[in-house]
Amino acid sequence: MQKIYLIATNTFREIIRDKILYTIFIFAVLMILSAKFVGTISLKQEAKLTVDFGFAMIEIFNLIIALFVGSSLIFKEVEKKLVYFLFSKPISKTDFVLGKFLGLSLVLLVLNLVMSLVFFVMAGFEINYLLVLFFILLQSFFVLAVILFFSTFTSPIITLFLSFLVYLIGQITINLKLFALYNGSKAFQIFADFIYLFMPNFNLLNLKNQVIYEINFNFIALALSLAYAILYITLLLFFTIIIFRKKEF
Amino acid sequence: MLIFFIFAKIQTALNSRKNKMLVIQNLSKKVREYEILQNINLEVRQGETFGFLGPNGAGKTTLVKIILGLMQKTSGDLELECDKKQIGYLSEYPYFYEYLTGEELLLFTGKLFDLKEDKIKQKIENFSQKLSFERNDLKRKIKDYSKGMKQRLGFMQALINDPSLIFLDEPFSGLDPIGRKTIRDLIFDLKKEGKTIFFNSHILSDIEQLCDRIGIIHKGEILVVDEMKNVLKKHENLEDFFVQTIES
Repeated sequence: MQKIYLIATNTFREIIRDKILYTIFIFAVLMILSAKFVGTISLKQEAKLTVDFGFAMIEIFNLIIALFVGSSLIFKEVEKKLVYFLFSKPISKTDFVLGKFLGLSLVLLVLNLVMSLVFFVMAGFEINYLLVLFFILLQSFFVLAVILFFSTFTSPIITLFLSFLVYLIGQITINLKLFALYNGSKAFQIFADFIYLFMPNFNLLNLKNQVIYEINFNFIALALSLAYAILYITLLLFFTIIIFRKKEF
Repeated sequence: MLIFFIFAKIQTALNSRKNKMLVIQNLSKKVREYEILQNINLEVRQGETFGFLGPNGAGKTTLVKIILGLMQKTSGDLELECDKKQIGYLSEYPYFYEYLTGEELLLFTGKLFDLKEDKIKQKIENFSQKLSFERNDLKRKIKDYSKGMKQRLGFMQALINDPSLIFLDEPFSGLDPIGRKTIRDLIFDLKKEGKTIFFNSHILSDIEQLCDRIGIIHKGEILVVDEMKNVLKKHENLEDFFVQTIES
C-alpha cells in the first residue's frame, strides 16, 4: 500500500507540475463560466441551458485531461527508460499500475473540485448537481481505466484513438441496442448485443438529463450504476496489471 | 572418520555457497529465434568487484536486466544471495523524473526502500559531500542538471539503501576527468566497505584499476572469467587481453 501511495503522489506531482495541464484547465474554467452567457441567448430556458452547458463542459474537459495526460502516462516511463530506475527497486508492476491510476485520479479529483466550485458560483448550489458532478467524475475514472488498459500495449496516439472510440461507443450502447432491436437484421442485433454486453455503458453514469428535466432519481438504480462502474474499473485495472506484468524492458 | 569427512565436505560446500553473492547456471535468453544470451555460467563472490566486459551488443546489459528482474530468462538458474532491498543499480541511462528536484528524487528512492525521511536526509548529506554536490544543486530540478550531475545523482540513488550488491552499468559515461576520479574514489571506498560490485564498462583502464575479477562476453557467450592479477601476469594490459580474446 505504501508503494502505491508513493507512486500515486509522485504521479500527482508530475502532472500538477506540467504547464500544459494549466493551459487546459484555465480554458476549462473559462468555458464553464461562459455557460452563463450561453444561457442568456436562449428563450425562457436560461437556467436549464446554463446548467446543461456547464455540465457538458466539465465532462468534456475531464475527457480531454484524462485522454491527453493518461495516454502517455505509462508510455513516457518506458520511453524515457525510467522503468530501469523504478523496477530495479523493490516495487511491483501492480504497485506501479495502481499508483499511476490513483495519481491521475487524484489530479482529476482536485480539478473537478475546482471546476465544480466554479460551476456552483455560476449556477447556484443544489444537492442534485453534486450528484451529477460525482457521476461525471466517476465516468472520468472509468475512461482513465480504459486509457491505462490500452496504454500498456499500444502507442499514445493509438491509445488516444481507441479510448475515444470506446468513450463514444459507451455513450450510445443502449441506443444502438434499441435501434438494432426495432430496425436491424439478426446479425446487427447480435453485434449490438455484444457491444451492449462488453463495452462500457456510460449512459448509466449520465444523470444530467434527470436533473435538467427534474426527473426524480431512482437511488437503487444509482447504487447499481455505482457498483457497475467500480466493478468495470476493477476488471480493467486487473487486465492492465496482467498485461503489464508480462512486459519486459 | 567417514562421517567427519562427509561433514567437512558439506561444510565446505555450504561455505563456498555462502561466499557467493550471485550464481548463474546455464542461463539463456531468447527473443524470437535470436539467442541473446547462451548458456551463461557465472559466479560473483561476496565482497569482490567484478568487471563484466564485452563489445557493444554482446549481452552485458541484458544479463544485468535479467538479474534485476527487468527481463525474464528463457532458461537456466539464477540465485541471488540478497533481496531487492539490498541491491543498488545505476543504469546505463541515468534518466530520472525531470520534474523532481535532486533531493525529491532521493527522498522518493529512499522511501521505496522503506527508509525513514530523516535517515534519507542524513545519507543525502553524506553523499553530497563525497560526490561534491552543492546543497543548492539538490534543490534544483533534474531537468536543469548536466549529464555529469545526473550521473552523480544516479550514484546517490543507487547507494541510498546502503546495498550489499551494486550493479553499475557504464558508471563513467558522461563524466569529466574530475568526475571520473570522484567516482573511482567512491568505488574504492565501497570496496573497502566490503560491498560486492558488478560493473559493465567500456573504459578498460578503470576496470583494470578497480576489479578483482573479470568476465568477457561476446555474442551472448561468456568467453573467459579470470582473476585480474592472472590476466595482468600474462598480458601487458587489460586492453590487449580483451582484444585478443574477442578476436580469437
